[in-house]
Amino acid sequence: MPLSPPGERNTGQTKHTSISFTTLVELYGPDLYRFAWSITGTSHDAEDVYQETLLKAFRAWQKLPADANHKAWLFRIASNTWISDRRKQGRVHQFGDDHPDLPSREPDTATQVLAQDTLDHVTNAISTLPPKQRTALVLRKYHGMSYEDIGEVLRCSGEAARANVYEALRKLRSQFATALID
Amino acid sequence: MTLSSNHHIPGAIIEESVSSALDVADDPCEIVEEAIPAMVIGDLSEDDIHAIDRHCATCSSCADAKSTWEIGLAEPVLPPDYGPPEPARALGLHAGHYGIMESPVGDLLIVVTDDGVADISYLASRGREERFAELEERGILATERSALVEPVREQLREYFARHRSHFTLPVDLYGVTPFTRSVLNATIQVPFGQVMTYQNIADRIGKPKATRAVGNALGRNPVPVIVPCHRVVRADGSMGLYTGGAHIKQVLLEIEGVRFPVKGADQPGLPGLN
Repeated sequence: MPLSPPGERNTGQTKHTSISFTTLVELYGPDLYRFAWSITGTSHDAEDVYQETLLKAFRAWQKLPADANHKAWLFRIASNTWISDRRKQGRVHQFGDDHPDLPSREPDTATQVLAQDTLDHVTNAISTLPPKQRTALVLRKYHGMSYEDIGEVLRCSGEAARANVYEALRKLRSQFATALID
Repeated sequence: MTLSSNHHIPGAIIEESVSSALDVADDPCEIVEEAIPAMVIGDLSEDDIHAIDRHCATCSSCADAKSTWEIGLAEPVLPPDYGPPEPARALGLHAGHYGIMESPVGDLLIVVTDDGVADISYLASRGREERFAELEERGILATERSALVEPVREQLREYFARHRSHFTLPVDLYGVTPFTRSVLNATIQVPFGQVMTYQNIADRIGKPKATRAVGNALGRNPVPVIVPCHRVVRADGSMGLYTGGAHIKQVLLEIEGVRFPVKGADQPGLPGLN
């Protein structure tokens, strides 16, 4: 039987008074990996971001104030790691293929082709969003985070976080409109 | 109820109060299509969602737009055989698995690794978070896998029920300093139902003047009961201190039939009961 997280049980909030790194990983590790997967889009990159985030967090853990928002802090490290990795890869990708990790697909019906085309279009649309908008949208949609918490991840106000999400939706809207017309 | 001011701009996205806007709209489709994105990311109220659903039930083009957004923003699914790497492995730490057991001396936190029992903690005297932090300092990161500690639970249950006098479980002293390790290795030799003094242990590890250090090392014993630091007592035959509290030491020694004060504890050799 898993133990209930002590901080959450005691306060009913996302902030904890004092937890071990072991408990931090237990509470947020799976979400962190999901987040890494949805922003990077490939399992290989997700594993890299997850691993790098845990290492950085482990080194900095003792210095983190006890009342910090631990989840937002972890996700911020992941988001920064991903953005800086992307910058580095931007140079490397000129020499290699873009998505070596995507599985090859062999759909066998017209419906599947159509569905897959729509999905590809959409995935591409999200992946073309600027990193901040993409992160904000992923946190809102897949993690149900409040705009306040998204702001903590992105180091901006809740309002600015919200603006990023809606800017992302506006961009996607025009891409989806093209997909529907096509 | 405020309505987002941008709902009159073509191509804009409504963020709130769709139901009231729909009541007065000339072109409900325009409102609905502009509100769908906010609905899909969870920003609309129940009322607004119902208003959109009611509209989509009779309007196929809005229903199509809605499903395009829903599919488009669906979370990408992880491959079925794929999950995050083991956190300990990701960090280059020793991987442990923990579980809890109830016992006559209170709840115990038990941590095992591939190499053996790494930790047994009395949760009444030290909190779980404090204990995990100490394990992290030893380089061990534990995840909850209760089933893996069952063999330890079973032997401990038998011990507390007075059906077991020695443990057959390997002990993992990973991250324990060499001195403490040598003290614990000497302590594990003290048989069930017998006691030794701190001085005896100091002699056994070849450091006869290190009695106090032996006491400190025993206080850091990460695997009490299995490494029987409760069988080490003072030279005057009194019980001495114990990790988790002297009352627990007394319970354990009573289980083993030891009475206090122990007579002859200051004699050379193996003192105590026999």
